Amino acid sequence: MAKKKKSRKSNRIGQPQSSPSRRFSGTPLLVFENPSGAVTKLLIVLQLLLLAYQFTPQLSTNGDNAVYYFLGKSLAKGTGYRNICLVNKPIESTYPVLTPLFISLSQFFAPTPLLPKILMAFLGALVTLMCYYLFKSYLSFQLLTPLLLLTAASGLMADYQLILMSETPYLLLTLCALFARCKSIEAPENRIFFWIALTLSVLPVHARSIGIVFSAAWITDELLQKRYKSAILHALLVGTTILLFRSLVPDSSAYANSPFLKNAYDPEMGYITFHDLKTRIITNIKVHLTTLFPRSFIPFTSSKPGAFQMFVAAGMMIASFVGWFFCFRRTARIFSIYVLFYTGLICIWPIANDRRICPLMPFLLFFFITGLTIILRIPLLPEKRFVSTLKKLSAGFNRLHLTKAKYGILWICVAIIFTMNVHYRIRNPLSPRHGTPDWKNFYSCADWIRNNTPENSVIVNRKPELFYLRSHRAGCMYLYSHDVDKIIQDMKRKNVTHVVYDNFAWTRTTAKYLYPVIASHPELFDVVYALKNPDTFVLAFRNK
Amino acid sequence: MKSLNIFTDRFFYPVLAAVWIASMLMLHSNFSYRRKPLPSVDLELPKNRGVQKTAIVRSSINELKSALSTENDPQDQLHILHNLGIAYYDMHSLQQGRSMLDSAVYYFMKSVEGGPEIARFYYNLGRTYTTLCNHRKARTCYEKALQIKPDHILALHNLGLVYYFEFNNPGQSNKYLQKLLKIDRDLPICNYVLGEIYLDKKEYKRALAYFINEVQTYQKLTRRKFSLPIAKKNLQYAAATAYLRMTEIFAEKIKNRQNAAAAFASYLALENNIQRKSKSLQRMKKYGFK
Repeated sequence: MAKKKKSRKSNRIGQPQSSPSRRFSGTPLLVFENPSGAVTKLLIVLQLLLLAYQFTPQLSTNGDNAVYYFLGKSLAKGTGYRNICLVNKPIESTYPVLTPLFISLSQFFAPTPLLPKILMAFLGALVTLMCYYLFKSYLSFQLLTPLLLLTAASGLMADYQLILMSETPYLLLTLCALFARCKSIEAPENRIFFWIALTLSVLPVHARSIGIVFSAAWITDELLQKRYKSAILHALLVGTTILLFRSLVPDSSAYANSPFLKNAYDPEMGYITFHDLKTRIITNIKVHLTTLFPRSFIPFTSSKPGAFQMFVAAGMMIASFVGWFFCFRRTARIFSIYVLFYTGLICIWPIANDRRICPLMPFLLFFFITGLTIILRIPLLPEKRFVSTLKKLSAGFNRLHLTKAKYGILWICVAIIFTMNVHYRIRNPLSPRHGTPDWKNFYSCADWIRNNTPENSVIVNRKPELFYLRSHRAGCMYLYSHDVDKIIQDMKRKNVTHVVYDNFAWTRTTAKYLYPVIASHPELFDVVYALKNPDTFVLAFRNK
Repeated sequence: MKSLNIFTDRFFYPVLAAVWIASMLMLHSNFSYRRKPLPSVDLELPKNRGVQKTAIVRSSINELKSALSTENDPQDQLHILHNLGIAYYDMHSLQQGRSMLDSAVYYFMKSVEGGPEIARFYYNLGRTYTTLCNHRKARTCYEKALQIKPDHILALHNLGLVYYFEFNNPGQSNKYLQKLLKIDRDLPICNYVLGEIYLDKKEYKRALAYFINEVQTYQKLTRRKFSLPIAKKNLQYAAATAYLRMTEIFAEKIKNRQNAAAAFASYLALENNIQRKSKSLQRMKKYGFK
């Protein structure tokens, strides 16, 4: 037992000479058995209060969250894994099944998006709890508390906890799998942990396709640790479940191909060349470094960060990089490998946005706390001490600890980041898009369609899934093509009856692709409902 | 004592979950996903104001121009050029500026140069030339469109009309319009033109049949409120004149005064031009119509 305790202690980063957990063990703080557990509970309550403040029952304007909801609804209805809001209700092949499955369970109790949204928000609190369980093996109480504080306050994670997206379930599953893995390494004699870890490790890839990098990181680390049996078992299990899913769902390779397509919305345009790929990687790296990573650490609503935000974010990125680099040497190596693989993949993805950074946030914050601790421990003068400290760090930094003053500096940094994140969440409690006139007019068209068209009408619009929520009419997107005849043929093939000409401020694809179709074939369209500010139309389509 | 501690993880978190979820459900239980009416419903536009509005066309032009600067695929570039031509053509119908038509011709010409195998490009270039009253070039464009796609309805329609009205060639016009009617009977003006052609040939019954078709097509189209690539005044002129010709045929050749009176009443209701109306009244006085 004593041996076990020692090994756990040696894993911890920033463990001071006199362990606080030992110091507090005999004197409970209030009625709590351990202080870190009590602080975690307090933070989770705080997080739930913030989530309750930000919560809105309305579905987000992100189309994917409506897709997840309707896939879950279809599963609950027993109609299979089908996108019921699209024309012909096609079998879904691009969205992994776990999130819709989770949503479908809630549909047995209430057939609206409200309950799954509440449950999704609660998963956000569970993420913080799992961070506590996972990272307490690596960090001391003094460092774990700021990490949990930043996790609970993270604006980016909250954004995705408040919508029906797969990021939060995916993140929770990765944390659970890693925690179970830690347990199985800590207690190798208990085989149950090994099997639980193995089972959990397969799930992330079925929550998000990008979870394949989690499996790759898992296998790599197992191989580096010479746990060959575990690596082979994981690979076999992942491969089998993916093959099983592909055998049930036709053309499920579509999403895997999407990074290499010129236009993910128009696969007929073909694949990118090596030059295109190189350009895309360079652009993505630039976007991630200058906008997306800063925005993930310090969320902001403007398109570019302010000078102070950029300064803080740059500091966080440097500290995170230091933490990431040093974690390669520790038992936390799997985190570094995972983050390396994950960021590598998102750099070749066609669309760069903060959504893909969300599942990395707890790991980035872990690296940030670790890195900041390491930076604060390196004395700048005199030179001899600097070199000796570096040597100590390269040998293992667990024996080092922060002085009170440096710990104070760490808390000041954490307090600044915490305040900026909470400020963002309080200032931005609801998605403002629902209140904007373009969305109001879009939904008003959906209401008109519901009241004035037959149930079998097929509507072309920019957001078919969100439109379905109000109109109860199947729909489809217009093709992203400049060939107007191709779009017309596609509309005729799908038996389209109406077209919604939107005027969204956030996208101009309707002006780019749909307008030329209407303008060059006016004999096929007739305005049946029109709204102004901004101009939005419902047009009947003459489908001969 | 330890087992009674409400702050143990296995007790605290399930209770917290239950309390939080229940309170959130209660808080939002009245929310409706179909709230109605939306505020913007008050801002309903008259339905006759089509999509072709200056702001919308301008926005489309901007988007297409930016797409043109980023698009690398030559085939897509041609489609964008053509779509830009369409947008400028629409802009002309809103602003009535010749420069808009010149821009439209410029973009259509570019698209035709790069994609001589696409009938639509030629048709739209021809349509722009027709608007510019450059009928020879328009005829060439329509003929090229028909070489590529022999059943191009709009090219057949416009070519038939150009031959009849601009080149005074009823034979060619008849050929194209007959071909067109085999594909689609519901197109306006062409029945009227065919009626005139057969009236000149003194084939009155056949001419009458075409005039009747013309007014029926007009009624059908106006009832459905289809927007067509043909000016409404032209549509109305063709239908009104068809009624007038029907009146003449019924009164002079078939000697059916009742039908003639009904057709003339319909003509008077449809005719907007006062001069034409008064002239027709003068002519019809001999049949006793007032």
